[in-house]
Amino acid sequence: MIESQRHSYHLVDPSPWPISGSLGALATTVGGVMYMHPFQGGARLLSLGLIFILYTMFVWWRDVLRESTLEGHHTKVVQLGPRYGSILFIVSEVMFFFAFFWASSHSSLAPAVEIGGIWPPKGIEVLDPWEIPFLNTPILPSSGAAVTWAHHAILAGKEKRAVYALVATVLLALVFTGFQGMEYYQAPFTISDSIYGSTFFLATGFHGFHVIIGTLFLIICGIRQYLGHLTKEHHVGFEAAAWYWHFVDVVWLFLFVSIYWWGGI
Amino acid sequence: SLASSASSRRHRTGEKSWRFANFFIFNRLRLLLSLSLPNQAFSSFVFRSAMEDEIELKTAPADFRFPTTNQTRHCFTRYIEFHRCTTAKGEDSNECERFAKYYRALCPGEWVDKWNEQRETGTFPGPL
Repeated sequence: MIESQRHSYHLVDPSPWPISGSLGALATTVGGVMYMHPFQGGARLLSLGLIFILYTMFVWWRDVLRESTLEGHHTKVVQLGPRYGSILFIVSEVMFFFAFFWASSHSSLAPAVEIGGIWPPKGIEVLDPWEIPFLNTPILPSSGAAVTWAHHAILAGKEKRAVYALVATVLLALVFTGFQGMEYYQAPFTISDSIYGSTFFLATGFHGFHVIIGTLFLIICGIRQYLGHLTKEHHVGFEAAAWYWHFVDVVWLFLFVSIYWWGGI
Repeated sequence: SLASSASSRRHRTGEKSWRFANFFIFNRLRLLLSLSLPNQAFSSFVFRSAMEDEIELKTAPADFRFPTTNQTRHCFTRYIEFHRCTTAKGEDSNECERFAKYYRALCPGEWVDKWNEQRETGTFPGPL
């Protein structure tokens, strides 16, 4: 196996998952366009594509776990790939959110004459930032602290405690998502209510989507920790999840200050 | 070479201040021209004195809050100010006539018509 190769790199076996992911992406995009235009079967193709993409993610990453944890291909130098890759991915996500914060600032710093030159626009009943958003503001950083607790537990070899810490992290994350969902449901304005609604729901909505993805990632880390996959020297997947989680946390803080608090004044 | 560099420095400073003065005078001349010539782009209303047959042309004064070429916000602000003035001081108040002249000078007629219509239907988005 790895002893028979005289280098410490990982030359992967041929895999069908890249092509299946591409086909899923093709189906998603074509289906999406069909859905948004008057073509039959668009919705079906779109959902088929999305399911295919999710399936590809599942099997691809299952294979990564098999190759790394079970087959031992992930030497220190191989680990650099996922490490730097995760960091760069998070940087690209920062750029993604930068765009939405720019959009929000563009419309709110110098409100157009067409909406009366004021922000928030007339008729928008903004959410009180000192109610649910203010409650959510300590919840997310607390779950960030819990993930740091989990990390320390892993490094110290305290495996059971690491599982408890990850459970705490995920629970806090779910509480946050629950509160946000509740507020979305009860909000007096919708995404169609002027540029305020658009920028608000786009920014907070994508943040919520990222919270859900991060929560899923952390749940998987929790399961892997429970199954004993993570060791104190080698837990790149966990670190990636933790970095992603801290990123999500920071984005929330920016959202709270600029959109909830400043945007409602 | 020190002396020559010093003299060239003086010369350069002189040139800069001359350029600045030129620009300043040019802008003043532009303003004077805009106010004195009967040009449709600059003037907005004509005032005839009863004593002499003299046409006095005026427009809204330059507002340092709106230094840009795009004067949309200036127009909108004057419109809002006029209506806030009439709400506070009552309709047909003399003090508000000043604001009325300003917004009529600055704003395109179509905008004023649209905003008046919005005010009547209660859909005007500005802070009146």
